[in-house]
Amino acid sequence: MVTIKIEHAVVQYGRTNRPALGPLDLTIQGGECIFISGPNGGGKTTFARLLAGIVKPSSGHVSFDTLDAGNEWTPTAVGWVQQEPEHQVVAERVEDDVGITPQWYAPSYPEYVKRVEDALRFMQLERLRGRAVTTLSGGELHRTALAAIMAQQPQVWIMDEPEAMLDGFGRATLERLITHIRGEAKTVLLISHDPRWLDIADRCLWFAEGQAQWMAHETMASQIGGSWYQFAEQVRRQAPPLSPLLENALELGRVLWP
Amino acid sequence: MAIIVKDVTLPFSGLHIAQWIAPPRGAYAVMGPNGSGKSQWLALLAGQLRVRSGTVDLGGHRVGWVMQQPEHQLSEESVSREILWPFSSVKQNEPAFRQSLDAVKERWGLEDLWEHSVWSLSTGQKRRLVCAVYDFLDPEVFLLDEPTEGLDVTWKSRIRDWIIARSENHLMLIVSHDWPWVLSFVSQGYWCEGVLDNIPQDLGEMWYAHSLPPSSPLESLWRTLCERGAPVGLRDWVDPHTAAQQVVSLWKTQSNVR
Repeated sequence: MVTIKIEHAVVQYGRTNRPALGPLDLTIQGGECIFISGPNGGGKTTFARLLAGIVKPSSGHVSFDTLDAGNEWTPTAVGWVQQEPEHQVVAERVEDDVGITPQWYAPSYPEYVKRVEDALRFMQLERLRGRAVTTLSGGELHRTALAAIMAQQPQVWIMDEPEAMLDGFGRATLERLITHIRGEAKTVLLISHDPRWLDIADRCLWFAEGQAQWMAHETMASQIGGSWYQFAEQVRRQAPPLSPLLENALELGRVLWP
Repeated sequence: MAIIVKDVTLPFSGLHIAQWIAPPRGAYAVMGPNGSGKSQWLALLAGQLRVRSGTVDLGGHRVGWVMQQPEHQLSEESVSREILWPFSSVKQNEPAFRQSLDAVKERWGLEDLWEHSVWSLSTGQKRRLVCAVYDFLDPEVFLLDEPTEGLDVTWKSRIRDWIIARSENHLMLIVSHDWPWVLSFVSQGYWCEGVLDNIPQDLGEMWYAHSLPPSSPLESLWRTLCERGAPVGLRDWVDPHTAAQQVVSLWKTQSNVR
C-alpha cells in the first residue's frame, strides 16, 4: 500500500494566466477509494494526468511513498483508464492490447498468459479477443481499456468516467472490478459525474477552477444531483418509520406494496 | 421526403433494419446493449457507413452528427474557426448573422473559450463545441451519440433544454446509456438488439423491459414496485422528489389498511 502525497503542486498549460490545477495540497492513503467530481474544465483530468506522470508540476511536488512522481515510479505504479479509451487502446487486436503491459513487466511467460486470460475473462471480452480494435463499439473499447489496466496490475487506479458508454451489464462488471481491486487493497480514484460512486467511496473530492476541496458525501450528493440521497432525505422527513428500510430497496418495495 | 432505410444489415453488430421510416420531427432515444449497432446506425444515417445490401434514402435532408468521440470532428486551430469555417462566403457582419452566432456562443458557454485552441479543451468542452457547430449549421436532422458523456449536471440539463426546444421542428435521435436523463424528457425510442423496430416504443416500458441490472437503489426500488403491481408511474423514479411523494403516499395507504 502506497501513500500519495501532493505538496503545493501547480500545473500550467502553455502561456495561460490561470494554472489548470493548483496550488494543490493533498494526501491520499494507500487503499483508499476517492470519488472525484466537479464542473467541466475544473481540473479533474489534469489531476489524473499529474498522478499518471503525463504532465509534470511546474512547481511543487508529487510523491508516491518515498518515490518522486513521474521520474522514479515504476511503470506499473499507476493505471489510468482515460476518459476516451481510444487514446490508450493501441494494439491491433483486443488480446494484444490487453497483453501490452504484462508482456513487458510480468515476471514470467506463464504469468503473462495468466494475467491476460484473467483480465479478458473478468471483463467478458473472450468473445471479442481476436477482433480488430478499430471495429469495436464505444462500450467494447472501454471494456478493453479496463481489461488492459487490470492486466497491468497497478497499485493506484485512476478511472476517468469509467461508467460512460457502458450498458447495464458493463456497469455491473465495472462495479465487480472495483470491488475486486479494493479487495486487493489498491488505491482507487474515480472521476465522474455519476452519483452511483458515492456509495463505495471513502472520501469525496471536489475540483473547481483548478482547486480541490474535500467534501462530505451529503454535500457532494446535493452538488451532483445524487438522486437516492435526495429521495431518502425526503422520505425520512415525511415518513420517519420508513427510515430503517432505506438501507434495503427490495425490502422497502415489499413493505410498500405487499 | 422522409428518410427511409430498407433491408440493411450492419457489419459486426449484425443489427438488421427491415424497414425504418424516419418520423418527421421530435426527440427519440436510441437504446441498447454495447456493440448492438447504435452508433453504426447513426453513421449510416449520416451517410458515413456503406452497406453491401439494402438501401438508404436520405431524402435530401441535411444531417448533423455529433459523434461519440468529439475529437474526430475537430479540425481547426481555434474554437472560433471551428464554428465559422463553413461560413467563409457569408457576410459575417450582418446583424442577423451576428445575433444567431452570439446566441450559439452563449448557449454552449463558448464566450470565454472563443480564441482557445480546440486541443486545450476538456472532453466536456469539446463535446459542447461540436454540438455548437451543428446548432449553428442548423440541419434538419440531429444525430447525437452519447451527448451527455463528460458533461456535468448543469450542462446535462442545458443540453436537455436545447433538445426539447429543437425537437419541435427537427428530428433528434439520441443514443445514450443514461436512463434517468433520457427518461426525464424523451417519451419514445428505439431498442437496438438484433433488429430495429419500425415503430418507436414507449420509453418507460422500454426501461422496464430492458434496463437491467438496476444502476441505483432508487431504480431497484422502482423495479420492485412495478413488478409487484404498485400504482406508480414507470418513469417516476427519475425525479427523486416525485419518487419520494409516491413512496410516502403508498406508505400512507398501507398504514390505513393496517
